[in-house]
Amino acid sequence: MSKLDSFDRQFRRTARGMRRPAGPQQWDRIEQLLSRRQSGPAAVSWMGVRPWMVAAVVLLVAGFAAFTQLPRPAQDTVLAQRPESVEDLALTATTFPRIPDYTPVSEGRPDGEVISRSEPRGQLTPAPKYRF
Amino acid sequence: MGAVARRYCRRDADADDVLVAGFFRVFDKIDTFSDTGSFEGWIRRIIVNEALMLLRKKHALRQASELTEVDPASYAIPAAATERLAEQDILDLLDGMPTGYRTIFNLYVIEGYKHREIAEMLDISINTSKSQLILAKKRLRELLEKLGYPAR
Repeated sequence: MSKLDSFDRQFRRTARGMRRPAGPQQWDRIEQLLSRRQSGPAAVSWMGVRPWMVAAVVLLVAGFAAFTQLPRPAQDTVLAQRPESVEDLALTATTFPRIPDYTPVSEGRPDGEVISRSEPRGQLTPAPKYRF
Repeated sequence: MGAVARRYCRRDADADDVLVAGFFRVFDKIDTFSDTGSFEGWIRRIIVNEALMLLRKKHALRQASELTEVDPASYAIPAAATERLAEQDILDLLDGMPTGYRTIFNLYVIEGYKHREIAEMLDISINTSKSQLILAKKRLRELLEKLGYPAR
């Protein structure tokens, strides 16, 4: 306790005896503050915007962003495979064995094979180099 | 408690704000009240703290001077001056003082805090608290004379 002289003690006694009761408006304000606290943080609003509204907007934006960023597998694979198949064809085309040009066989060739033009079709057999 | 708030705040509206904020805190923290002290004293401390917070928010406690030479006799006021002091006169006297003087006078003389405690509450030095009390009493003496009370 602080050291008080007689003036201080008298002043203190009188000042502490003063009364200023709270009016109905003050009690209403206290009640409003208490009811706002009891309804929890979800009821707190700023400019009429509730927290659940903010959360909903965030979810919508995040969902839209995720949807636009997702890869599209069907289109991408088709576009990617087309040039590969063309390249394969181009690479393998150089290695294909070329079919020799046709040259008519003349009778009595020097390799000794006998070619008859008078035998019936059923008795003819193809030369060995043309057999499969 | 309305009178406690009004002693710290010159404006009635500020005193009402302090009262509302203080009682909201009382109801909010009522489970933290321990039976060691009086319930009225606990509420009074909350109201005083709310009043000090409001004064800090309004930067009303920034100006604080420190006296180098202290002569207690220069601010002594005879007890007879308060014998017929009316409540409204007390409010007028407190309102007539600057915020810093009035706050420290309230805390020391009426609430009963020590200078060390006041220094901690207001974040000032102990000597500043003592100086402000001396200046408050000097001002109070001048005001009492103006009101026609025997201040010498």
